[in-house]
Amino acid sequence: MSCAAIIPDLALYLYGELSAESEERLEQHCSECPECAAELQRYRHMLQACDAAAVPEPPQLLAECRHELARAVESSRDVVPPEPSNWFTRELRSLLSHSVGFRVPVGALALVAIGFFGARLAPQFGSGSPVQAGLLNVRSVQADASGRVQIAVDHTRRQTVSGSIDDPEVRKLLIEALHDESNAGVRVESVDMLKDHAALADVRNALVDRLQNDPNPGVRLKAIEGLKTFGGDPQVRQTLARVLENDANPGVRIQAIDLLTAHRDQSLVGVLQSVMRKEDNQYVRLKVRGALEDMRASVGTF
Amino acid sequence: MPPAGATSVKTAAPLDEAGLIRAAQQGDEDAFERLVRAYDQSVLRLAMNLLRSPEDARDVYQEALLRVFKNLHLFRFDCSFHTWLYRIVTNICLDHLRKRKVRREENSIVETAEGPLDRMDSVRTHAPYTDPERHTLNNQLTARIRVALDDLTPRERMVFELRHYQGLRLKNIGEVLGTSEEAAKNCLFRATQKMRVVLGEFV
Repeated sequence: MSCAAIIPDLALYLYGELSAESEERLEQHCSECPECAAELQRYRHMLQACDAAAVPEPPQLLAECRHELARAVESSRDVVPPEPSNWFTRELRSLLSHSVGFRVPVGALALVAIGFFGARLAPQFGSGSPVQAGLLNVRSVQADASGRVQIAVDHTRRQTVSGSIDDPEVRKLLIEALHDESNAGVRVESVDMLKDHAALADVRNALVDRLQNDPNPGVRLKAIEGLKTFGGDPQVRQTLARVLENDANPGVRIQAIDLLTAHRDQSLVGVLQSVMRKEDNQYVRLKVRGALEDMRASVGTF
Repeated sequence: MPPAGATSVKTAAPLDEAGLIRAAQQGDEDAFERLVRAYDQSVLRLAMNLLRSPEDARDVYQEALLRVFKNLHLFRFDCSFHTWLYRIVTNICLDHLRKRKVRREENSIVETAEGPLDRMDSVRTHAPYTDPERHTLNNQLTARIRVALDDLTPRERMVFELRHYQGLRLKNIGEVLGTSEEAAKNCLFRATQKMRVVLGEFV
């Protein structure tokens, strides 16, 4: 390989952005060509010196910016209320805005519907006061001449749905349950039931989402377990790489490495090198180093 | 050499980001604030390092995050929130860089008896905000690097900023800037090569 062909790759090599093949070619060439090795060293020096040229923000600037943003958000709130993204809430809001007279029945109907899909959310009804149990929203309060009070209350209704996991409705409810932020136990149970059905696209997407976004490591571990036969799927790999770089839990990161390295491809090298730069868990580092060595890639980029 | 800001994305991991986004989309301002706080320091750092002016960085921060607030209902989870946010931020920064470049090209060249002279040459070596402790022997190199960075096109400057200082992978940079990984790679190559030429024997 000629020196001219090496030069464009020097910086990319230092950033860990070359394919394993190109990286190997470059290292081979530099080991035999002192001029290119010296030029690589100059690029390295230049990029290291760039760190010193960074312009840090003045210490108080962030606090000032946050304060100003809070004020701006507050003043813009009255002008443009953010539109709900959820179609259901949006429809409901637009219906409610048409006529005050429809508010109660529409609201009640809507909440019964939520009750069907979201039975898991419904608190246990007590036999006594509805105020303790299913109360979600007081729609109106009226007093008549005799002093009696009429209160219109919307509440959810618990409904039990049973069936096989092959039933799309049952799966849909289980996937819904994965988003119950108030109850990690329900999420763990649901992900456990779903994890053996990752061959179905809706389940796989839900597992990928939970692996990436669930705050509970138990849920994330179950989700990754469910994805273990899909280590070659590009979307899953992309998520695994993100998890390996960002997940706060070392156990989840280790699972991610194992799954990623079971199907090697060249883009993995960059991810692993990037992880080596910031990973602080010794065991994870060991695993990443082992994988890089197995792939005959350099462990560091600087 | 871990690039500065490389860990910025990691801070978002423990948050239930999707939950926060959904809550913020429903108008929950606390959720919006928590969401913003996972990323806003990186945003400010990006603007400050690119524009080297606290006033401009403040403007970018404000404009970008207010735009995020107003358009959050349009976010459909078809890319990561980080990518979506950075698309907004980088667009605003690129506008600033382009305007600045035009202004500089229009105003800075003066004709003298010795030929055209770029007035910015004398200014560029003094950044508006500098840390006095950094005044070491490497000062000259640092000043030279800033000149080299100023000579990049806005797009090259942005790719270099995102890769070197923010620690983003080229693939992600491509997504943020609405281009391919290959185009981002070429841009990074051009940027570093130009810098290498400007720095000459300094390195």
